[in-house]
Amino acid sequence: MPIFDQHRKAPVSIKINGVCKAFGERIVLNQLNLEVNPGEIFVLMGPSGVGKSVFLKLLAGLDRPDAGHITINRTSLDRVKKTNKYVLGLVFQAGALFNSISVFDNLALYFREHALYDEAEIEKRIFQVLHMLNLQNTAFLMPSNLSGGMKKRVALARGLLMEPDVLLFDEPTSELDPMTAASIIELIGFVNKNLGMTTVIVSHDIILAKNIGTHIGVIQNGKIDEVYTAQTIMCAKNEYVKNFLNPTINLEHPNFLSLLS
Amino acid sequence: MKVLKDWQYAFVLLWQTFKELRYLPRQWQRCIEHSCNMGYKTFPIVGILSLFMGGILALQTGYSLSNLPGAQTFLGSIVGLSMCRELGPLMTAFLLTGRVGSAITAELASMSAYQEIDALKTMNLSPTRLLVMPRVLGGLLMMPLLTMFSNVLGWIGGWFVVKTVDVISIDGGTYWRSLQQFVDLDSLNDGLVKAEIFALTIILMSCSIGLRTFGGPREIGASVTSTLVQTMIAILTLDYFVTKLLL
Repeated sequence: MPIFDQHRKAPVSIKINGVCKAFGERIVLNQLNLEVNPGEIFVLMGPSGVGKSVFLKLLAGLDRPDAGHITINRTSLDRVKKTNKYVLGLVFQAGALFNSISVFDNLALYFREHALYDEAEIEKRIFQVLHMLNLQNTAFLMPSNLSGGMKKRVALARGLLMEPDVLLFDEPTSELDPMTAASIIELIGFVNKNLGMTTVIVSHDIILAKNIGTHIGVIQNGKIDEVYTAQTIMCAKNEYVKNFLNPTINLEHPNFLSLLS
Repeated sequence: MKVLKDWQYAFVLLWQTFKELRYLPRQWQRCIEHSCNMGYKTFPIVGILSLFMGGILALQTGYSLSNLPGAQTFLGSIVGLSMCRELGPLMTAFLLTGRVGSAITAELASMSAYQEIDALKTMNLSPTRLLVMPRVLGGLLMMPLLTMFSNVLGWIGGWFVVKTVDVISIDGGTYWRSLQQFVDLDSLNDGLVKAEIFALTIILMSCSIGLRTFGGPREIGASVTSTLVQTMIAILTLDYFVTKLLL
């Protein structure tokens, strides 16, 4: 019997309005506006250090914006977190698994602490998801015994088991070989297609964005000026976006040459 | 400034722990685990140090009193009261800070640095409920037991010195009679009150500093040092004021 009801809840929309975030003098997000449609995969791209992970933290409710609002189905994020009206799952870049407990206990923690199911049901659900992610042999291993790709899949399993309304990913394919990265991309695409949960991915990976992204935004100067589709992003007119997607490799860069002189 | 923030957050944690007590039935297993970790592994070192502390106290005092005829008959009361009112709770608190407080800070700081605390928050699970409350209760449960153990071992250390060192002219019976005469229930209670206050300070400060650590291995190391220094200063400061209140 499947553990996920494909039509359990209607997908939710996310609206981000004029969000600002600064750390001291450094402005990271500056009047950022964005709308994520129900059930779509939105991929946020941009070079390192432009505030992608900060954006994701704000969206997950782990930090608060200095100004602006984030709403999920017109309910403010603060209220969502307080009332648990919508569930948000975040798959961290390095997995963020609890190292002192086994994979099984990592996955069971959410159910046990919220007293959602009995132990038999928890076990059934966990093994079904582990099987789907081809991780059934890792259930009783400690997270330190897993490879990077396995950790990411276990983190994805933890996110999925929460049956979230919004699933957030922080660099899901970073530090993975192309084959493992492809399998993670397939999984995210499969989950979104079949369970319909609204998904936001922060990534550098254009292969991921082109293959599963419904919409793609590139963050520049703390805001997203334009939203593209997989087709339109490759012919973007914006110089910054073009340079980000097709960086030029210059082996004769003046900075390098100055080292030799 | 940072020290003030650590203290401020320690008080916030105390209040949050109090509020989270309603979830205790689901956390009792974690409380027992932490109690065992804190107590079981700390007992041997507390025992060894207390034995020697009592012995040293008896030796120093006995030697100093050897010129005053009859004064050595009070040796039992001096060792007994010093151990249960002051040295027992204080030494156990210092040991708990070094052995348990530093470990708590290191563990929570690593969890914070590797985003495990954020992962808990995204699951709508309170870090105070899962990480702080069981440790606070474990500390409050084990500290009086460790302190009593320290007192008894200190007394035994003193008795052993009385029995074996020639310069001390009283016998074991006189030592124990003097100890029984002066060490009453109030003295023991005062020591245990101090022990509980110290336990609360150690666990809350360790958790406060650990949970507010950001960065990598360097910051984790700095947090552990900060816990040791701040907690030891706090224990001695509190000791003075609590002693003044209890006298």
